[in-house]
Amino acid sequence: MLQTTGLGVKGAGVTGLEVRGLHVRYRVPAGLGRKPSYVDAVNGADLSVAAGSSLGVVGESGCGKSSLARAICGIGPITSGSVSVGGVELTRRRDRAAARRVQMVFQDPTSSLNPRRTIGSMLRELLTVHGLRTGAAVDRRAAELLELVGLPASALGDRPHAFSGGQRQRIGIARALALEPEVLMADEAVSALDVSTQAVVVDLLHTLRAELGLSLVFISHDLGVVRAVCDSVAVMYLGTIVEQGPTEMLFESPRHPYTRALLDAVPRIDVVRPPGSARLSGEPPSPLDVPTGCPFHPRCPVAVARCRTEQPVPVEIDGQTVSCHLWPHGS
Amino acid sequence: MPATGSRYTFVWHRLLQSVPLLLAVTFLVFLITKVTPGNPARTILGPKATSEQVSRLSHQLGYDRGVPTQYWRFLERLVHGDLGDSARTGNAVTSVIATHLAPTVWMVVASALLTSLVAVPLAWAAAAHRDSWLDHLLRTSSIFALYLPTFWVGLVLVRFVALPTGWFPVSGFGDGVTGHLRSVVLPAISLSLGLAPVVARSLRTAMIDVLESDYVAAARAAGVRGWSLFRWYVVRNSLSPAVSLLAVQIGFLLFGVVVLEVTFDINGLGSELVTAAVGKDLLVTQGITLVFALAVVVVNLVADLLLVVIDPRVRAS
Amino acid sequence: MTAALVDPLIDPLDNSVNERRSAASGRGRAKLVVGGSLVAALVLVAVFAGAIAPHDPLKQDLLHRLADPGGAHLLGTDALGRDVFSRLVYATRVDLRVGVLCAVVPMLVGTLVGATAGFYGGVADTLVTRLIDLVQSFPVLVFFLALLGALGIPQAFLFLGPGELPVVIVFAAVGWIVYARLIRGEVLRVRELDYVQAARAAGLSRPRVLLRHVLPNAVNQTIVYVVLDVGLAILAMATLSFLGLGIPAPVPEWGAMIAENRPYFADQWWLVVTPGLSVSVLGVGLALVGDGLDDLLKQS
Ligand SMILES: Nc1ncnc2c1ncn2[C@@H]1O[C@H](COP(=O)(O)OP(=O)(O)OP(=O)(O)O)[C@@H](O)[C@H]1O
Ligand SMILES: [Mg+2]
Repeated sequence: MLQTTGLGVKGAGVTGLEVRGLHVRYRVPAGLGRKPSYVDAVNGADLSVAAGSSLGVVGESGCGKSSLARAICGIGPITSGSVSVGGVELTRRRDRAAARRVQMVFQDPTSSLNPRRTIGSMLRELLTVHGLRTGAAVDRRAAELLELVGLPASALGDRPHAFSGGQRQRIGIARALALEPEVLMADEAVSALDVSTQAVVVDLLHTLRAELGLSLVFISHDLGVVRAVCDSVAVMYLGTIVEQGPTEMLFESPRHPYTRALLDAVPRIDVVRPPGSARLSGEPPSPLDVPTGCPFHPRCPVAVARCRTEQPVPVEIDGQTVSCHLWPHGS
Repeated sequence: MPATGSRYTFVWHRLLQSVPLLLAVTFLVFLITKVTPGNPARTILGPKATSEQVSRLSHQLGYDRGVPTQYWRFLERLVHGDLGDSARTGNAVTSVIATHLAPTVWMVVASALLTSLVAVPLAWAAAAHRDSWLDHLLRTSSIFALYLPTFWVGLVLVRFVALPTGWFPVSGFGDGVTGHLRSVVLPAISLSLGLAPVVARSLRTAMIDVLESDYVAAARAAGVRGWSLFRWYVVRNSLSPAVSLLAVQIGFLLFGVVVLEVTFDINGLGSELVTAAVGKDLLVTQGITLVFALAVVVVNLVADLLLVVIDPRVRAS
Repeated sequence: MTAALVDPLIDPLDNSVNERRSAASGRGRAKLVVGGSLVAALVLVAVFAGAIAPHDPLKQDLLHRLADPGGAHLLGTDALGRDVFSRLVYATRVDLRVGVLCAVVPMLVGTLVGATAGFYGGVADTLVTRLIDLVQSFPVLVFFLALLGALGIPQAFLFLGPGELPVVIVFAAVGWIVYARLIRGEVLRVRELDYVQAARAAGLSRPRVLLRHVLPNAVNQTIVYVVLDVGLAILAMATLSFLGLGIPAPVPEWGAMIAENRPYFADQWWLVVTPGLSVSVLGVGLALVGDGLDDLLKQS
């Protein structure tokens, strides 16, 4: 299988995706009588995903998950910080070879495929532009890609409207795989699908990741799915990654109050809620107006005076990284 | 901020916005003398002028200098109210404009009034009875009406209405107020036949938006029904779109007036413009075009300011 | 609303949409058939004018001036004894040719400029936006009239008859802005769609993304508009010719024919009514085609 797909095999532990201090800032243009302002959608994110492993990114709507994904893919702005794959830095402007290394699966199955192109012509374009195959091998490879995602080769002649949402999402995965990337970003790739289809597509991503040795970044607001498929998890709040760590540890012993609140918000029958833990209340503050200090302090049930003024620095505890004054250095 | 203060800022803002627009519009009008082949000074003075006269005027208008200088001279003369003289009659262009203004104003006002009088109730009816035969008829007729040559409709009305009945004059502007009124009826009908369905259709869409808005839903829930709902909520809130729609169509309406003045032999700015254009009387052509262009700018400005008065929400945004 | 909430609604919703769609597509097809036949008939008349017209449209016969319809002259003769039917037939050729050029040339220029401006943004985009504002508060047709007067009426040019070149130039000089606005708006919308983002993420070159992924999905409205615009251009040109500023005598052109026959309207009404009807019939045909296309394109 690995030989036929033409992808190099990478062992676990080899550097996959490395993100250091990534900032994404959007300019919100001035209106009549309004000054231009800024949205810091991603605020110094550090991530690393080894080849062949997967990272889940979770957080409320508007916390900057898509901005992070788009910056990593080279289709969104990078204000500062670096994105590297396999030890090589990728800037926003990428040549063809660099662009190939990170590919994305999009959320909306209806808008993620060009309605005027057949699946075959779309895949052939990618293969030939990148010079990955020539002549008759192009068609063979296109059929092979569809097979890889569980679709018949006969689908090559059809346009997107002929497929269901789940099938389109498979086609979207085939498109991403056509370029033989090292990193695959899935931004809410299954949220638009019904539950049974979700499971199948998640399964597919999971298998492909293992077989092809991809680094998978799986963005979702469904904590259950993330727990099932990801090796590690990053929790985002208002552009900041507040906690990060191996999946089981993070789910079993969440350290950041926001992570706890998120987990509590998921109805579970097997766990009695510990006393003192509060459900998350209120909307997150506007990213146009991020609170001083710890961004979570206005909603935090255990905030102290220091949280209002001083931004916490990330602290590593047993392989788990957390940014909260509750966990001072050295504890 | 107090309401009067923000209204004041809005007016200032809007007036300031008109400055670059005015510069652009006057530049386009200035170009009219530039596109003519050969020496424009010769064309302006006519064939009888001596070559000294031609070179003197060339110098005076800046034709021996670059385009920016020429445009600057044009603006300078413009603020002094000097639009030059007619090549044909030697009269000052400003006095040509003054003597022919009245019939054109009559035509414009009559056409705009008739168009609104037809379009507004039509749009109300179509919006209130969506998908009715009337609604479909409006949609279809708005497309077909666009393709009716106004001048031809005018001629047909003359031949088949004015001539046999004698109710309306066949040509000319008539005498006195009643005479003028009778003369502008057929031109106004010709024009609104094409324009009213188009305006009504866009207005219908605007009104449906109002009908489907939250506050109409709230009013319905509060028990406001039927005619009173319509009068208080829909009519009031569709005034603004009506005003802006008419403003958008003003350029089209003015061209219609020009054509109909020729069709009905009404001696206004329009027919004077056509005579000048055909006779290559460049400065008269330029002057009258400027009047029409300024009219469009002013109508748009007034419409915007009017909207602030009608609709407080405009001020807020 | 999250997509998960909508999911169960999609099926029934889709069905009702399909019902409405098929009704719209049925109506769209009917409009296309009726409008298409009208337009096709007039195009055939234009192409085979030589075979259809019984007489030379320019040949004067002062002994048979203002003849009544019938006999050798289907629609009679005009004040110079020219066969009116033949002139109408040849006018179809002139009006269609100029109308098509006056819509298609600005469409090509406007599409190029609008697509570039919308896709690349920057100074070009700002400029196009400003120009659009300008055109919207300017009496464009009055300006055309003045420009045509200043340009004068030159000779024939290549395959264009007398007076046709200035008309096309003047229409193109302003008309492209309307198309640029149309395309720009669509390009701005389409370029944010996921499949365009995917094409960019795949490292495809920007011209390729624009030409192969953005433009094909941004031209629907333009196609509809250009069909309607051919009719509007013919109408405007006929009006300008009626005023003496478009196509000069003795070329057969519908608007000019109305002007030259106007003095005889009271007695020979058909001299004026038939050219006007021709403009309207062609316009309505084109309007039906455009509207039908709109219905069909909307459902895909
Ligand atoms: N192009 C842009 N210009 C300005 N602001 C933007 C832009 N894109 C996103 N934002 C803002 O940045 C913030 C983060 O947006 P982003 O789409 O990354 O969030 P998200 O976590 O993906 O949300 P969701 O779960 O709704 O997809 C939001 O407040 C959003 O309004
Ligand atoms: Mg998102």
